[in-house]
Amino acid sequence: MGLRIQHLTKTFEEEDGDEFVVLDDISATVDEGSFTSIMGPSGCGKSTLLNILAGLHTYDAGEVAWRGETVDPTNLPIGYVFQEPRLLNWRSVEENLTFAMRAQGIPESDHDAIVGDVLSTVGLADERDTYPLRLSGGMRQRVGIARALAVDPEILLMDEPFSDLDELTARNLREDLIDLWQTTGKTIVFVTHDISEAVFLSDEIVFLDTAGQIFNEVSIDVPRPRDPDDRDLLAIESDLMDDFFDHMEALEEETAAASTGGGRAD
Amino acid sequence: MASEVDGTVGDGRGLPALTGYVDGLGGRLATRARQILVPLVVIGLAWYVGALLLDNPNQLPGPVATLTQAVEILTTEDFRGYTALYHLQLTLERAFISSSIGLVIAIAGGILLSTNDLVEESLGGWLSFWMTTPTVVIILLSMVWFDFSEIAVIFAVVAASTPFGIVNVWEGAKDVDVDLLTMADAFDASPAMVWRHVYLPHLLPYLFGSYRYILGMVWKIVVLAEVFGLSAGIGAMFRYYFDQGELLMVFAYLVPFIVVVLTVEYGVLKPLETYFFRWRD
Amino acid sequence: MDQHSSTRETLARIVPDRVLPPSVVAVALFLVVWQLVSLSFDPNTFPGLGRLVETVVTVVTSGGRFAFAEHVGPTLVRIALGFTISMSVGSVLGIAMGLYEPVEDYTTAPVMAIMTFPAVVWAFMGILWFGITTYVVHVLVIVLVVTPYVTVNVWKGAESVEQDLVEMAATFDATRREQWRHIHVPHLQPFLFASARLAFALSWKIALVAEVFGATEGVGYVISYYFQTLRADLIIAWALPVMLLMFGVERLLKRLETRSFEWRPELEESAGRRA
Repeated sequence: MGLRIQHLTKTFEEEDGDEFVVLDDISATVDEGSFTSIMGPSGCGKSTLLNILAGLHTYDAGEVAWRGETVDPTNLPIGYVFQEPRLLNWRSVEENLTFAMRAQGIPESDHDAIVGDVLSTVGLADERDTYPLRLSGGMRQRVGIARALAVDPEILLMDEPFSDLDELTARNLREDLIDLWQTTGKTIVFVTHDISEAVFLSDEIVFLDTAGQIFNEVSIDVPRPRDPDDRDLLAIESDLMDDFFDHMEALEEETAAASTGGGRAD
Repeated sequence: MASEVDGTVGDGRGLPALTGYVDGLGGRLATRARQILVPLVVIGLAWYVGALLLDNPNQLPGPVATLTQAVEILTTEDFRGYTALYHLQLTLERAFISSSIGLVIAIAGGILLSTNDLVEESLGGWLSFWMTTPTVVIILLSMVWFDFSEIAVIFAVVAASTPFGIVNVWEGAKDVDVDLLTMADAFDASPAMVWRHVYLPHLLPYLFGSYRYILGMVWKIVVLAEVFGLSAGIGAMFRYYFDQGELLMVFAYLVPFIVVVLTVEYGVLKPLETYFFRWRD
Repeated sequence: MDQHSSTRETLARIVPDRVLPPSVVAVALFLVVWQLVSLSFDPNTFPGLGRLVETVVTVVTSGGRFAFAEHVGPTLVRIALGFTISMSVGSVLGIAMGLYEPVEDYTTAPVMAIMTFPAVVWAFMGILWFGITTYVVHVLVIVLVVTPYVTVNVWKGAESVEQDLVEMAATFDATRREQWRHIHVPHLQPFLFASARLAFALSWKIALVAEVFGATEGVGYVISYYFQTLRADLIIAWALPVMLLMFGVERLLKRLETRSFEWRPELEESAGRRA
């Protein structure tokens, strides 16, 4: 059953009173235990969708269901990994993890074991007492991932977590992420603007356009472990890119026709 | 079924602006007016009620009495033939003269400190000691040395405010984009060119802020200097009526003073500064 | 010419071997100028260096008209009280302004307006209200003048807390108290130290102003006494030791402040500039 989003709509009101529709009647299903990416150009609302699932934004219409039951997104069992590490620089790595665990009400007696466990998973077992500013960008991101894992969520939400890193570090982290996913069996919802990253990582890709609608949903059936430079993957990527550009062109023509034809309420 | 999830973090600023905080009144001017008028009315009312309750114009003159008296001093000549306007004018003149002198010294000093290492090493530390000298001491000494003259006032105000101005310009000059400097150096630009194209454009808007900062300090120092033995000027009037024990008159002189200060700062200088800074924002 | 402009990064100048550090040279020059000027003045008005040192010693050992401790004591108490109250009130108000937009909205204008009031006017008002008091007027004046400065500094600090971190905490359902303890308070610490330094520097100078008009003991009172008899030499002699003492305290506060910045080097500049 997994995670179901039904007819989700979200509009933002701008400073001058204009409304603009970020998500327009979105419906999608994320199978439990799958790795699903949400893809789209900047401004398409993918981060907004993630933030709604994280309980950070409200929405105007629609509903969210988890394992067959309608639910308030604040109650979803999620862990969130941001694009920036968002660590408390004045606390050690371990303290950053215990902060999250304490906030989630995880008993203190368990903290020590979880910290050790989770830091080994991300390969930072030796950095318990280190302060974030002494770590590299990639390591800080890994602490962010460890923190999300520490609260043992069933769903892992990730908002372009590797886009601030250099390609080498990012590749390593992607592989580690897949290993982690396969070991823990969590449901991952991964936002990205990078098509090759999405194709390499995901079972399913959902495409959002700038009109706030889903215009494509694709399953990637290439068996794992995948090679990022694999020819099949590259072929899929270029097909998807073509589809995307075609769609965006069509969308522009539609908008142009609509505005010459009498204008939207702007 | 929409959910009401906003505000879990519990304070008005907890979530990014995108979550839909709408200023119902729109228009920046309306906001400004509201921000000024509401507290003004609230404070005015509290003052009015307080004065009514105490019922002693020597303890707390009410707003009506104060304003009436303020108008009176501005329009009627006192026993020496001066109106409050005359005193205001004197104080204003002294403020502008000293702040201008201070600005020139601040610019020279600040730029020198930021570009010349010898100057920085020899004088940088002593600036903070200079700033430790209490304003009132500088004023008293100046009055004694310069015999309670106009020079005494100007000297005191410049001496008291300038180190702060220097530090202000110095920090602004230090703040120049080092990348631009190395770029200019890579192209073998002469010092004169670096000045004209990197330092000055960077500094000019900053100097406006520095002037405002200096003037902000200077108002108060001029008044304090005038208190100590000048016979004319807003500070002198404060002193005279304080000696007479007339609180109402002190209040009355305060009103036009505050009005002028606020008008110059927020009505003239701030808009000008915003104008100069607009390329930055 | 051995002096010329140089850009910081491309400092290719070789620093010459100096016999004396330049700051010492600068002071020496200043003292020489002082001595020269003093020659054309009456020693009561502009004392020469020797005479000045003598006078300072007399003052500090209570050899003159006024006992040093008897007057420095009350001044210090007034400063301490004024400082403490200003910091408390100012911090609370500043935090409220930084975190709650409605508070900021309506209190910005009054705070800015109050900051334009010269301290001496508060002193006059205070004395006309309460008469000559031991502590009330002085502490009140300090509080009225210094609190807005603390408020503005802390406000800017509270306002600058990274929303990213607050959002992150929200995803973990952290309570208000947890956010305060782990995000807001550590973030505010450097700003509080910077405010304390500023508040102290202001407090002691304002205390003097209040004492000049409204006290029967205290450093300001003594200075005022000597002013009336035009004894500039004694004004300086009393001011110097007090200045040195206060300078020492300010240096101490600065050291504490720098220590608290160890995690956040990028904030150091913006907080230090807030004077």
